[in-house]
Amino acid sequence: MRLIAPVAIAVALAAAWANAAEPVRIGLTLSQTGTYAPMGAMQRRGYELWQREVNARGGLLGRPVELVLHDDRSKPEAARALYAELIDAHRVDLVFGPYSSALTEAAAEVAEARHYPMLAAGASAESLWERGHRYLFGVYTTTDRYAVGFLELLVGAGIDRVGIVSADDSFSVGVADGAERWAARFGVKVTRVPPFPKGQTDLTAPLATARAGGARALLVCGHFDEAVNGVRALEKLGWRPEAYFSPVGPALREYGQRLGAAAEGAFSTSQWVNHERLPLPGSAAFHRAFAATYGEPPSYHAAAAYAAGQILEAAVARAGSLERETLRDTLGALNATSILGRYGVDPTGRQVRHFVLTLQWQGGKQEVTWPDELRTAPPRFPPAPAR
Amino acid sequence: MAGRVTDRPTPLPAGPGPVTNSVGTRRKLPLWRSLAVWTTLPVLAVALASGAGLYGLVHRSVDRFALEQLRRETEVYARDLYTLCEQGYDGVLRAGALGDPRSEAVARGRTLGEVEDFLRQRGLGGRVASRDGGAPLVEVDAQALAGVEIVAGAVSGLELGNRRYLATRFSYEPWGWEVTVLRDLAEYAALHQEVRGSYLGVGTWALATGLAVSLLIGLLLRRPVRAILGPLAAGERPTYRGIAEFEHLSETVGRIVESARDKAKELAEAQRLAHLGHWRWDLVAGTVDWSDELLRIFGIGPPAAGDFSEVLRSRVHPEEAARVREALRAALRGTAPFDLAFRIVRPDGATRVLDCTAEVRRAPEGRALFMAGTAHDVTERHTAEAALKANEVRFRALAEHSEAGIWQIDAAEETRYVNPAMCRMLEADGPEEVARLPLSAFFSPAAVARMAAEVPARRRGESGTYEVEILGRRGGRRVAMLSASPLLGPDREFQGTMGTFIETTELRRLEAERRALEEQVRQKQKLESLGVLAGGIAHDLNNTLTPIIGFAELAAEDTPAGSPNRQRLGRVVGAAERARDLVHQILVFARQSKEEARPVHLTTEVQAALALVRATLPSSIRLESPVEAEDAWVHATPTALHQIVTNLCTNAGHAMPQGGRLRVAGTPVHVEEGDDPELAGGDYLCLIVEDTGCGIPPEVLPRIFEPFFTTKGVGEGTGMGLSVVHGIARDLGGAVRVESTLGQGTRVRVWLPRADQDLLPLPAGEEPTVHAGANACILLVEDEELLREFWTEALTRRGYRVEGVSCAEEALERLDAVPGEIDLVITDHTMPGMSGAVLVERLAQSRPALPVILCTGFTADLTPEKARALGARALLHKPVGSRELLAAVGSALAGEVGEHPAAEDHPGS
Repeated sequence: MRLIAPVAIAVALAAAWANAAEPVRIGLTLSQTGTYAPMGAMQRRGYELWQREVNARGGLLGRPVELVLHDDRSKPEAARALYAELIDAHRVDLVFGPYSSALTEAAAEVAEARHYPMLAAGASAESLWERGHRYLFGVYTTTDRYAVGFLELLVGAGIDRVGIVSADDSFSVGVADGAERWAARFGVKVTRVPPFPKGQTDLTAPLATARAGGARALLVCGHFDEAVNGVRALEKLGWRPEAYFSPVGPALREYGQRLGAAAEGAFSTSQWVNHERLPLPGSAAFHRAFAATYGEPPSYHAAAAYAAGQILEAAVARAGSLERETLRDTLGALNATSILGRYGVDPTGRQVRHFVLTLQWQGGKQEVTWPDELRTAPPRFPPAPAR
Repeated sequence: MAGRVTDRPTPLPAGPGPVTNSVGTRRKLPLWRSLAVWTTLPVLAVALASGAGLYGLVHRSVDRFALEQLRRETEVYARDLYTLCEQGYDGVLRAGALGDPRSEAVARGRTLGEVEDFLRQRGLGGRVASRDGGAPLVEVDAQALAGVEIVAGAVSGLELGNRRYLATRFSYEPWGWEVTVLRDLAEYAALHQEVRGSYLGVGTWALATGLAVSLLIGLLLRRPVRAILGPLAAGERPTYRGIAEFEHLSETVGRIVESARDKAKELAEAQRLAHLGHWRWDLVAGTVDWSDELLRIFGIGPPAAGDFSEVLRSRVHPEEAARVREALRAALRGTAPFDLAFRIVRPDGATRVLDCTAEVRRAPEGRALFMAGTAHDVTERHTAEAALKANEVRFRALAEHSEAGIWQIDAAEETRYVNPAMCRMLEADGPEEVARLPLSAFFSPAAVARMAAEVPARRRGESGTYEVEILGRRGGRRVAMLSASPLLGPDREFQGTMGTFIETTELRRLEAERRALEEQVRQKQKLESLGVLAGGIAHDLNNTLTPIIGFAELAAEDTPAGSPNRQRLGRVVGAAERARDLVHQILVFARQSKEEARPVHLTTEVQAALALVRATLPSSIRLESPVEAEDAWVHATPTALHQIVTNLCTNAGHAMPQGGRLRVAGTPVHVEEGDDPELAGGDYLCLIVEDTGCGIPPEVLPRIFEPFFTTKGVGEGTGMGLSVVHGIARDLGGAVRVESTLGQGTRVRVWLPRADQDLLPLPAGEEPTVHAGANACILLVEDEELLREFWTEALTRRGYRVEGVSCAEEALERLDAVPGEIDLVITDHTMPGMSGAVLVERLAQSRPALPVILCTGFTADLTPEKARALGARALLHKPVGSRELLAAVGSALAGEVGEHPAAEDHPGS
């Protein structure tokens, strides 16, 4: 024993020294093609920006961070295969989640089976945390809260009846379900229309159904395309509800570019907004760095990716280790603040400390209308159209 | 153990297979029986048991504590949630918006969101439902709660599906909410897991420590244990120094070893003294242990012991080898116990007899493990037993072949032994019958009574001898002398009786005969003495009567015929002659000398006898004796006839105490040869004696000829009568037959053979020639002066010269004095001094030519033949009448030699 102890310590130290030069390889896929390509592109930039900055800070525990990134082509199957390859073949040290709830679900299964803790920076479907995953930790506020702010604004405006239309993907349904549940809490009556297939462009039929239900406000739950198609359908129907909400689309700049004036008044939800009235630490710096690096302002998707890096960095620092089990436990208990806001998960890994903002296109630009404390402009409700 | 050899498990003396011969090695003990394991096992057991108990205790405590904590926590959560609701409500109030439905709706919605967050952040389930109904406002992990009623205000445990929960509920009145908080106890299960894990770790550590400690203890104990066991294995005394307990153990074991050695020595000594060896044949290891004594018995040493098979093969007596082999096989097979005696031959050639006993020990499934036994050298005992057996055979033969009956009974009077002679005597089929039947079946009542009376004497240890009458089973009657002696145990306690029966039936018969003979002798002696007496009297009487008759005759001669005196003198002579006849009868009766049978006239003798008998019979008995046969000559003696008549008439008299008729008759009978079993063919005279008396009972009839058999009272008879008659008749060549009818009378017939006609005496002739004196000189030798005087006168009257002398000596002197002068000598026989017979003898020698006439008044020892043999010319019986005398003198002088018939046989007129 007297001889073995020092030898062991020496070997351990040597290994640590040797490892210090080894980069920490973090694997992930992002949709560089397919439906989620715009969001995927944003996220990639966010991750890469964080990588640059963290390596400039000395890396994780003194080891540089290397991102091993693959294109999942917006396909869950591809994501599943790629994550398996990353872990099994590339033997990455850690992973980040892909974009969208659907792909995250596929990736989470692979990570879960291999005990790789995964920060899901592109998924908000509530159902993800109802499957008993132990290694999946949310960054986004879950979909059920997306419409809370919009509904609260409706109550304040005295609008007591909404129609909820959604695509049939898990994100869209999650948003719709949450909206319906919260509508009950606020005492708002709901006309829920059965979901339409994802990818359907003509939404006149479901919207007509909602209108027939007596809805004064309309929620079209889907991604960017659904938000745009909903507006087109309203135009076709000649229906101008007192308020229009879609969870993703109006939060993106392309929404205004695509719809022009028709974008006016649409409400949406954003996980993050860079705004002078929202002084989240590092948020403005990130905005500047992003804009300086990529020549355009970051969306909340990029911010979420960047925030995921920050959260991982905090967890590694807190754990003092890159050991995955330790990191898992640390992520489960971590209480941190990133450019996105608060980070904190419940025992299922669901994000519970972060909250979303409600935006409204006003005068060709996005204004934060909720929560009250952070709003940049009061919400505007057009007068009920004469019937 | 002195000798230890190994052998294969199948080493029957001629068994197949190789036989090895090596020293047995120490057995290898299996590891599980080692000290280390035995010290470890209890530790393990205790650790597991106490560990299980401890685990239960800890688990329970943890469980209780944790559950309580969780319960409290759940209560706290419920209070916090209530506070959340309060804050929402207070917010509306403070904003002054209470009553504004929009503000209130917003506040309610926000509060519900906060409640949901609260629940999610703490991992709680829960639900907020509006009292107005509708879908739950908040529902977190509470799908399982549907339809379950939760008690308000208290935390209760409940099980939903397969999960356990703690649940509580409260109402938030201002907004009409029912809030339920649900705490999943999975966390608590994790705690259990934790406790189990910790416990397992601690338990493993404790177990390992315990095992290590016990292993250490085992290793520590190994040294002292080896220090003690090592010497023990070598049979030495262990001398361990160190740990006190083991030192003590070592000393104790040492003492035990010493003691065991002493015991072994004692055992060996005992075996040596008893000539008893033992052996143990391990059938599994194939080793055989021999005790020292066994080696000594076999006369071999351990090195020479060799293997078991070889020893058995070479040492068992060749004649017994097959038997021993078979017995061993049978014992190994389990079909028979090994218990037999056989002979062995020692290397030095001595033969010993062994008594071997052995047992085969078997495993529970029946496989033979080892065979152990003893071998007892019983040569000496065997020899002694053989001698004892021979002795027993000898004594048994003595008893079995003894002519004396032997009967042994025990103290309980049960028959123990009966020898064949006894059975024969009792006419029993065998000892069993003797033992089975009571004494009364074999003995007369008197004998049984006697035996019973003797029992106390036996019990006192006294012997006794007495006669018993045996009634044989087949009717034989026997008399036996029983010598009964008590059988006494070592302490002189009575154990039974041994009776020796010596049959005395024959002895008794012989004795009876002897007694009869004695009686006869006595009778004879009595009669002889009577005869002597009678003879003496007769002599004197004759001496007296001779001169009476003589002188009366002389006087009558001198008296003229027809004179009354001559007639009177004639009467005197007649009376004197009757007296002389009487004397003669007495003499005949008393005559005892053995008479030779000769022709005897039956009628004459019977009449003579009856003359005597008549006087003895009572007058009430009428005697008829029509015996008149002229030709009644039988071949007999007068005495015999007298005895026959006397005895038969006496019996008849006794049979007729009240009187009756007695008839005596004779009749001639002719018997053809073969007609009668007892009688030869020929002519007989049958003498018949009949009475009209009481008769003889039929059962007595066969025994009447037995000596001393009598039906008469003591003193009435000797029991010899018929026996004597029978004897006489038989002797004479005749027979006796008795016929009797009870109450009517008895007839006895005596067959007597007729006399040969040629032998009959000549009939009495005419008057003998009386020679004239012729001047012859006669020397008369007679001590009786009167007789001398009478004879002198009678002879002188006939012209003889007579010189009388009074004794033989004087006669001899006179003859010498006047040689040639004497022509004839007449001498009396019975005289003082020299007897007449001696004188006759002398004279026959000295003067053979001189005739001598011998006279005698008593014929007890003189017969005419004898007299003639002595040299006498004639024998005269007194009283001698003058006619007889003169006739004899005349004959003698004339040179006739012979007996004067008249002098011998009187017709008895």
